[in-house]
Amino acid sequence: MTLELLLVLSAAAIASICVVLAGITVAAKADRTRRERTLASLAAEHRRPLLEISADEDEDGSALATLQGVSADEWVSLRPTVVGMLGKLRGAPVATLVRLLDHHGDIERARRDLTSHSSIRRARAAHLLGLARDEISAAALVPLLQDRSDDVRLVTARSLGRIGDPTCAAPLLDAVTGTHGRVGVPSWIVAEALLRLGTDIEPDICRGLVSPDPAVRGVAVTVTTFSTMPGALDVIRECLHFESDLVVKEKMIETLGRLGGPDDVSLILGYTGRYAPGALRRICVLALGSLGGPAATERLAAMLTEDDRGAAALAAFALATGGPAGSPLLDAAARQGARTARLVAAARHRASLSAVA
Amino acid sequence: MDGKGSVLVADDDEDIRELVTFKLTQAGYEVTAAPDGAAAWAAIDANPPAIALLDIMMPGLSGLDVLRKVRDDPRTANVPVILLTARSRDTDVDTGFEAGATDYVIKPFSPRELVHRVTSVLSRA
Repeated sequence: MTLELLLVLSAAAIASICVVLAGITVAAKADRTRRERTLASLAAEHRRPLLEISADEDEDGSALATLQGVSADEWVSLRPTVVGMLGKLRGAPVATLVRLLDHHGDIERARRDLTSHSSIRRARAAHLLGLARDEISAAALVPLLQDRSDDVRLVTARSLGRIGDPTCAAPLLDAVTGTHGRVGVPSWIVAEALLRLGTDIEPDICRGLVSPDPAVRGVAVTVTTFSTMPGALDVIRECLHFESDLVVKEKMIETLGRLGGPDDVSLILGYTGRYAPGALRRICVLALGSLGGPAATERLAAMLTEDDRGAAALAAFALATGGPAGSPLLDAAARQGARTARLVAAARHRASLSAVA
Repeated sequence: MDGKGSVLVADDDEDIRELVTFKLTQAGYEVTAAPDGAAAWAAIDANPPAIALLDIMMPGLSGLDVLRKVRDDPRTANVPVILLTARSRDTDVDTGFEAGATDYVIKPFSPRELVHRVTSVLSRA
């Protein structure tokens, strides 16, 4: 066999393979398109009863009965829309859609799939049970907060938030801490989930505030900030001085600024000294501005002449927006020199703009 | 149809668009649906509705863009607008009201409650 013949045969073989692959691709695409059209057509037939259920207009239950009676193929075409609707609605239609899913075995299948070997199945199951607010599954979902798959842990945290069982607060907080070399569930996901569990979780949040892990303490502070937990606020007051993590300390001061009272001014004043970290000082300024009172305004006025221009500008703004007590202090500061006068003028201008907005 | 009024519903999510259209039609409103912001503004501009329901996150013109256009045009400035959106942060709600929204409904939502909001806004208009 000559070299030329060998080349011709090779080229012919490659061309044949390409033709076969192209044929397979076209056939697969055609098959997928045909299947999608069939599914869309099946789904379209049942659009009306699905809308009736979703719109809470199925008073006699006939739409639910119709969709409970569809064939397995028809259900395959409908199921994605039903699951999609669950995430977009609240109120009575959600319960009816869950009954429909339950009738077709999806809820029971999802409960079984929580222990599947496939992480995709576990994640999908956790997602569906969360959308269905399936309280029975809460206990079975908790172990998945330590799942080996990042996606499963994340989906589980969100689902537990949707289910709203307060007994899941402690494992949710624990999920922030990574174990076995895995990263923890992102703090904001856990905080959002915890905020959906109500105020009965206050004891868990108080324990979270004294956790050895600063990420857990940070989440506990965030939850305290956006809920009504006076006991947790007291723990923040007790722990502020001992907090070793600067970011958590900043969050704690921010929380006291938002939710605290006049007595908290003395706790914050200690962090406004010249040698405190700049970011911390600035958060203290904002907190003092929010809390107000003689001690706070006096300290803010003293900061107007500082070299830290950022802190001085924030102090001026806090005084300009903090009520009538700040006005004479700003007037007095403006008379102390051109630099302070400019600072005060800028703060008053910003305050007037924010008042208009 | 008992002629309660005309409603413009704009949402790029087909399920939501159809659902809201269905619910409001059942409640006696005359509904026009738009799949994006540009179509919504074109419909409002051509025939100002009694009330508009706008999703915020839509391709092209966002719901907030449409809302600002509605408020800037003297012919439509008084049309009540309800924002129906998944954006639930306080700052999002503030931005919506600052842009001129009459009411703000956060997804996931209750269709029944949405009809009550529409009725309530129209009764005050």
